Amino acid sequence: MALRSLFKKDVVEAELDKEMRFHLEMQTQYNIEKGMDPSTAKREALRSFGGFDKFKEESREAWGVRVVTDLMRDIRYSFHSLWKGKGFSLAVIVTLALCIGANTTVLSALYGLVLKPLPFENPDRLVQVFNIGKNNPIGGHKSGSGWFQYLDFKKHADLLEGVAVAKSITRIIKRGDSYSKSAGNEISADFFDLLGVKPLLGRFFESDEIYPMHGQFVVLTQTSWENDYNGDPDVIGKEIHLDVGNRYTIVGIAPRSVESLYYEGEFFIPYRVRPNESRYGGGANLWVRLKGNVSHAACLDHLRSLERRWYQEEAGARGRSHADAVFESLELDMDHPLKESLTLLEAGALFFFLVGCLNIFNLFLRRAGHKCHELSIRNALGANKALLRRSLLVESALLTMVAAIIGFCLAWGGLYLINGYVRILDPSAIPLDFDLEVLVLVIAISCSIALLLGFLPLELLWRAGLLQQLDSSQRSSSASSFTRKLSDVLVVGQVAFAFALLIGAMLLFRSFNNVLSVDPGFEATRVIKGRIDDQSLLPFYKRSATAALKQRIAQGMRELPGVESVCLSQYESFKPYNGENTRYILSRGVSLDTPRMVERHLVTPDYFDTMGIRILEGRRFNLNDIKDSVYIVDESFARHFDLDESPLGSDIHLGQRPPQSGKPWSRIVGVSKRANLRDLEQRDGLPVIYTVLPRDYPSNNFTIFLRSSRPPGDVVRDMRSKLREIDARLVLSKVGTLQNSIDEMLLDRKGITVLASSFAGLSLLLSLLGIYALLAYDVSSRRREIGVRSAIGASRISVLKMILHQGFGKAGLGLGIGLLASLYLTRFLESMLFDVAALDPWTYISVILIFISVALVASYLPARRAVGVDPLEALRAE
Amino acid sequence: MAETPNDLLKGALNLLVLRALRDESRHGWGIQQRINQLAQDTLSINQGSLYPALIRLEKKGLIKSKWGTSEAGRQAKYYSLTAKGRRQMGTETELWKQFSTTVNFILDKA
Repeated sequence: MALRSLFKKDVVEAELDKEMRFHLEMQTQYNIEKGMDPSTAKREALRSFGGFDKFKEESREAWGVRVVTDLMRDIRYSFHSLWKGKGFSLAVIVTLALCIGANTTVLSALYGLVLKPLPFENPDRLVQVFNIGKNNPIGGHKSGSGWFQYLDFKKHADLLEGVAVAKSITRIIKRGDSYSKSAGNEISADFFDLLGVKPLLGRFFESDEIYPMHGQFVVLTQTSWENDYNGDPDVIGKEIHLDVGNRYTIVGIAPRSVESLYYEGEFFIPYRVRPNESRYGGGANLWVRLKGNVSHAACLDHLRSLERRWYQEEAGARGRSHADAVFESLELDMDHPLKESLTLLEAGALFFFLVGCLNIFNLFLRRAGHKCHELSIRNALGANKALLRRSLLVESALLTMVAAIIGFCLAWGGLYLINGYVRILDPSAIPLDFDLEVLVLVIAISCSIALLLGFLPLELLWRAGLLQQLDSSQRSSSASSFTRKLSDVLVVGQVAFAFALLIGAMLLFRSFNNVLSVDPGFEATRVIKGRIDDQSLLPFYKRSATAALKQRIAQGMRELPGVESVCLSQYESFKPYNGENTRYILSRGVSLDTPRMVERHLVTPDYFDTMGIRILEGRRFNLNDIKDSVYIVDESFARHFDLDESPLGSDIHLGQRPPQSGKPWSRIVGVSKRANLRDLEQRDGLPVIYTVLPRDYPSNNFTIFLRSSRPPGDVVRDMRSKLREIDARLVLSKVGTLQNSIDEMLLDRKGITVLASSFAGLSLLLSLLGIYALLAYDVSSRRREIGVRSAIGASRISVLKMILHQGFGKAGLGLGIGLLASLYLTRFLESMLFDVAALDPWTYISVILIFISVALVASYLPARRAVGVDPLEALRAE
Repeated sequence: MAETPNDLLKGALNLLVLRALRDESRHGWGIQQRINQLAQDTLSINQGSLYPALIRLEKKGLIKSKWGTSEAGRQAKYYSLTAKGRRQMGTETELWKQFSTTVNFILDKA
């Protein structure tokens, strides 16, 4: 019946109406028959019936229709009252929408990039294994694995359900007449099995297909299949040209889930074991799946014991040096490069959220205080507490809903921006989207806020007995003093949070500035780089011919118009440290008798001129240095190794043991300025030693540096066309001025600084508004008192002081709490700071000054209004 | 509590409605007339309060309703007792009698 009345409300309503009208007509008729004239009869019938609408309402209630109609009425009423208080509603919606937007964005990024579990069967059992070099200079750096470690684990690791090896590679793909670079993976045949992934189409690899004599096969990713082949199912069996001229047969399509591991990757091919590949030298990653109830720690112990066994039985027996990587640790999850920054940002967003919520809560509380009179009247008229609560809840639910919708729109825009930015920082990351988990969380939080906001103020007022009292004058004053006390607490909390946030943002901002002011040590704006990493070309050039190729390229670049100087370097700049150029050296002359680690860069003689790196002592390279091996070290060499004298003129040797007798040491002929070619923040990394790139260096991977004053875009275009002339299979990548690369490197820090600063700025604004609103309310409710004070002779100054005192009292207390919190919290920021201490006094002083001026501004306007109170008028108003 | 007299009246009205329907089914106005007739016009209640009472009784399953045609040929909703309603009327009549006797007894003594 209740259901029926909900769904067929109108029908039921009409029936009831009809029934009651029939009654009235019958009664009228009856009255007429009793001798009344028609109009009297009708009036008399209505009178004896009692209130027509009242009983209709009562019937509805009996039916259970009431809740719904009441809710409709509440919503209508709320709309009306929210519309009437537009300022309040707008303030709440804007604040809440910003809070929800900011948190949803950062949370989505954090979840999507870092926390989200991998989309595979039992992802918690799936683990990536890294080898950690014992003597690693930076400490705890992961180095690669290879085919032989994979085989060893596969055979001997009893605690593993499976092992697979994968290696990120780039290959040249030929499409039509043009060549382009494409990322992919070499994998062992059990790779997909280990992940628990089935082919979308076709098949994956058989275990014997790692041997090329069985033919060359390739599996495409779903994205690549859809983009390059329009999802054509007949693609299976077709051939593609990888590696210039090598034909691979497409055997299957991998589903999109594997792209969460290798987003850039377009293809998978079977693992190719390199000639003399070492245990750790394959440049590959090991993936393992743990057996059912094996803990990570147990598995780690097990794998370590395998590693020790290998060392004792094989490596040690062959006298291999222990300086090689030794398996030390098991990485339980893939640490996303942005994990730390994102966690930090989420903390910032959360602080902002708290400040915002405190503000909104304060607004609601004050409004409830304002509405105290209205609520009391409604209460006295018979609206019980449940009814009042419901109408306030409806108001807060409406506001939260609107704010949540706007907040989601903001978050959507935010994610769009972040996606563009993440693509630069981490091309392997999947573009972010709203995740269901995050959405549910945010909606749940929004709902609880709505509940809290609608429920708590009333509850507090009710608990304090403020709505039940009937003496109106006493009630309104005690109600306001009660809500005021609470508001005070909220404002203090708000200032404290905003303060801590601003300290954090300020420290980040100063770090960013400090990074920007680091001298890169080279001329960033005039030097253009481009990388040729093209191992697949090697088979087509004999060893002697590759040297000639490099020369032709260098010569070709020199011939370009407006190019002043050209050099080549095997070192890939602006790439995270992976230890590949790290070498041990010994030195004679200066006291380096134990092996030390440095970074070695192989460059052509004109390197220092082209890059604009100053030579501080000694000389630069000349053409004769190609034959004799001499070194130039950078200025950090002496500092890093605590040398008392200049290393100029000393002899060094690459390796851990002195050269065999008869072999020469190499001389240090110059000391250059430190060039921070990896990252401006890496100026304290290993010292760099430069030596001349040998003509027959067996790698076609090198970077071209060009010095030119022409617009970079034009130069790059010329570079490309020149390369096509030389060999159409050469692909130039990572092109741009060095300044572009620096800017890209700084994006990460810039993004965090900008976001953290905007959270802090908004929080500051909110706490300014919080103090202002509190004082303004104070002044308006104390008009009479102020009037009396002025009337009995209080000077304007003393009134002004009184109000300012109020504002500063709150701000000061909040500031103190915030200060204590910051002293504790900034330690978590330390890893993000650059050249600034977590307890940097200047930062603290400037933020305190900012807050004092904010308190001043926020108190001044209300104070001025208080001073302007006319005693006569104020007293009359009451 | 201010609600008790209301509850008492409601209870009484419910009982009167059941009693009015004892012999035949009637529409709302008919029930009203029957009660007046039985009370010999001594009882003065708002006629409108009959309708919420009817809905409550119907929800409890003590009476049922059906649209029919009145003597004057008009559409009207007719109510009749259910078996449950008939039983309920018996027990409630007993209860009411006992209750009112007790109350009268006390009031007379005072």
